[in-house]
Amino acid sequence: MTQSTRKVGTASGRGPGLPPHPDTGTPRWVIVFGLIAAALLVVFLTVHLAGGGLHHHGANQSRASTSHSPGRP
Amino acid sequence: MMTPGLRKFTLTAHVTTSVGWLGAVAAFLVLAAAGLASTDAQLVRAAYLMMDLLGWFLIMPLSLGSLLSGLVQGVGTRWGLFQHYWVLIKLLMTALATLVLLLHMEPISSLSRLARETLFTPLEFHALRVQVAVDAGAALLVLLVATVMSVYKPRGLTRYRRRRQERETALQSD
Repeated sequence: MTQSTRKVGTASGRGPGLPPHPDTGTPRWVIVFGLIAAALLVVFLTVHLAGGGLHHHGANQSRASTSHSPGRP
Repeated sequence: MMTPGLRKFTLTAHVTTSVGWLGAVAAFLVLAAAGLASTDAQLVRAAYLMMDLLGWFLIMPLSLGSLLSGLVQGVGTRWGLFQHYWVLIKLLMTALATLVLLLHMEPISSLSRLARETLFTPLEFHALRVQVAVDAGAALLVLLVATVMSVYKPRGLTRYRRRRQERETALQSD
């Protein structure tokens, strides 16, 4: 098992649990995360809008629209 | 800043509600999958009735509890709400997940109402049931990412924090 080399001590007097050195610039993981989140959000919105929006799959979805379902008697 | 006792109390509340939310969504996903895949009408109806109960009486309170306790933790500790990217992203994800949950409670309740009807069969409302299952899977993924972030706490100070730090350094050097 490898030991973490990340320091979270109080070397800079900033208190426990906080990184000892101030970070500079936007970290790469934030940019990658943002891009993935944006892509997923676009997919999510597209799927919902293509499906007629959130209100369409509510109580207003009538049985008439599914009356040809093979499960119906 | 909070006292150590209060900080531990709110942290306990935050961990409990967040992990509870994750578990409740996992259970919800199992029910959604059962409701979607099963051909047993009785099981399908039971699944949607249970999903309504889980949603309103477990997932909803836990999501609001997690969001609220997270806000208290952020405001009351040195982490802050807008100082570290992982805290900010987690806050945004939790708020978004809670909002999406609020929007999806009505369709879930509709399915539950339909399941009470004796004519409800496993093959009806397929698109709606797929949607509910996919949303539950997406919610589980979001909550897993949030949990991983809480444990690993990836580095990165926000621009707001960096500017504040620069100002403080400039003041100290004067």
